[in-house]
Amino acid sequence: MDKIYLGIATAFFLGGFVYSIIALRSGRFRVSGLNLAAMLAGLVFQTLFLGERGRVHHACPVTTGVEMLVFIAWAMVIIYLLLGPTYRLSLLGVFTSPLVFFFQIAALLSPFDRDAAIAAAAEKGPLDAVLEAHIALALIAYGAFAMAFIAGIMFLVQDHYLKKGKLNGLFYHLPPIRNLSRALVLLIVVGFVLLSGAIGSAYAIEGAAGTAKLFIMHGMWFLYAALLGVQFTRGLPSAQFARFAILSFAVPMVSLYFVR
Amino acid sequence: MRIHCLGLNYKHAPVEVRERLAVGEKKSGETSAETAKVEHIEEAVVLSTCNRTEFYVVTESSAAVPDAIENHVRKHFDLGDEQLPFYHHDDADAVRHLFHVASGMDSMVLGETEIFGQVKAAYAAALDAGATSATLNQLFQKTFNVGKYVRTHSKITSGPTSVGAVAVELAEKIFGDLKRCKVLLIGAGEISRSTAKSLATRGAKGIVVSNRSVDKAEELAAEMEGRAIRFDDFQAELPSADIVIGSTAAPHAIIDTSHVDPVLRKRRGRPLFFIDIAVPRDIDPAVGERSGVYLYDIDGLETIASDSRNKRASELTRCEQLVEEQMVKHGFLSLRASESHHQSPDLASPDSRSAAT
Repeated sequence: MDKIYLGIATAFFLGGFVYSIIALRSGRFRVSGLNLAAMLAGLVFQTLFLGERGRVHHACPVTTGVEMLVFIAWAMVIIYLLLGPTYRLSLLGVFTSPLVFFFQIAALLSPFDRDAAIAAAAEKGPLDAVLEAHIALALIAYGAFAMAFIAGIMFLVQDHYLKKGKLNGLFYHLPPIRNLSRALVLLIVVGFVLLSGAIGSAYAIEGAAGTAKLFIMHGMWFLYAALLGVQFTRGLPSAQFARFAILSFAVPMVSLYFVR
Repeated sequence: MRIHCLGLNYKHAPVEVRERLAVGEKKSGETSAETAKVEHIEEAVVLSTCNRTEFYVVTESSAAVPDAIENHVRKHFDLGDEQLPFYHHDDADAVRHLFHVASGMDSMVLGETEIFGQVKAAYAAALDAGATSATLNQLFQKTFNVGKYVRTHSKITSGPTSVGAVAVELAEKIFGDLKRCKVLLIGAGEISRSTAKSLATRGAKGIVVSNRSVDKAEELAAEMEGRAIRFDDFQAELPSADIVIGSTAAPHAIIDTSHVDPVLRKRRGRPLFFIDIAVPRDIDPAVGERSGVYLYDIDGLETIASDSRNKRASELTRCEQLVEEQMVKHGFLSLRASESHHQSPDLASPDSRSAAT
């Protein structure tokens, strides 16, 4: 059943994205309820999937690679739903849905299936609360960095339109560049705080200190700390900050392989 | 019942003529009511804007001829026998014309939205004055639906069409809400004044005017509820300004990268929007290459406005199709001459005259 939930959620994200692209290409795109409805429906089925897996593990479903991917995608959708209206970031859903779809399809195609999850759960035994919190915090932080990556791309696209004086295509649908810039900084701050929490909690886990996973997380923490440090002390030009946010996202992506 | 439209507009009547037929907002209802009292006229709505004056009337069967309406208009405005470029539309043509007007398809600035509100106001005034009844009430309700439909399903309203509107559009895409934006005017030319006014209407506050003639700066600052500074002091205002409008008569650039670079450091990533209306240009084009700086000169702004106007013009055919769809949908084209004495599902035989012709 969990795979079905995952498939349906993936279909909704793909549907929302395809609808938006068709509407944008026709030149008659309006931020309507349809894209939001697709995201909400996708979220419901993601939650059902994670709930099902949670019942398997009797714990937060963050044991296998599939679950981690879906958990990050789930965090992204939640952040989108919170952030989009707050900063009036129209088109954030359009940009978010392909990345969420990518995570979902990677989860669907990955070899981790229900049996593997059950076997892994049986082998590892129940996760302790600190470990669960550590993983969940880290994955939500990854979700925030993923959304910063998306906001960064949106910023650079809008910056390009404004610099070139091209008031067509996505220009009218993209949010103001100042809102994007603020949202971008906020997302990096949120991700950084969560990542700090995840690293802090790791020290309470027996045998975690000195592992490659923690080493990578520290590297990531220093990278984002440096980015925020420069931003808050000297003030980076927003386009430069956006480029850093996009490039920095490669680190959590690569680290996922090791963390898994 | 027959529907007629008699009027004149900017296409054929110059402002000297249009102003003689202008009906003030307060007189609109009264004029509609007076028109509705004319023999054979059952209902009337007078639409008067700076670009047109039109009388929409409903007459009983074919008893009233268009001349009777024109005679009333001539008498009302004391026009005598003077030759004026009136146009006259009947039934389906009158309905179609009203749909075009409400959709902004007949406006001087194609797709402008102000006309929609003006049509609404004219109808509301006539309704309050008791000058309308079933036919015009239904027609105008349908008109509002059609106006919205055409705007929603076409790009007739897309893009800014004037330099001021382009500046506002760009400013809103850079800063979002303009309420916290400070505007610095360097020079007090007419275009910079109108551009600053456009920005102020969208909430931009703290307008600072710097001009070689202090009197002119003070005059403009007073008009904009801002403050005037000496011309030489404009550089001190740059770090706190979000939008800078340059329109001086200086023979060379007065702002270059050496002015802007330190300002950008102080702004800590906050964008800066330069609008250079001056010729020769006030702002060195190299400034626009800096990250976080958006620089537009008069050609850049005019090109965007012109592109939008062309885009709107290219939408006209589609809009006409949309109006025709709506004409069919609401039964304005489906009636035959033989049915003209029956009540249509929407209105009383509006296209009877066209069908008969």
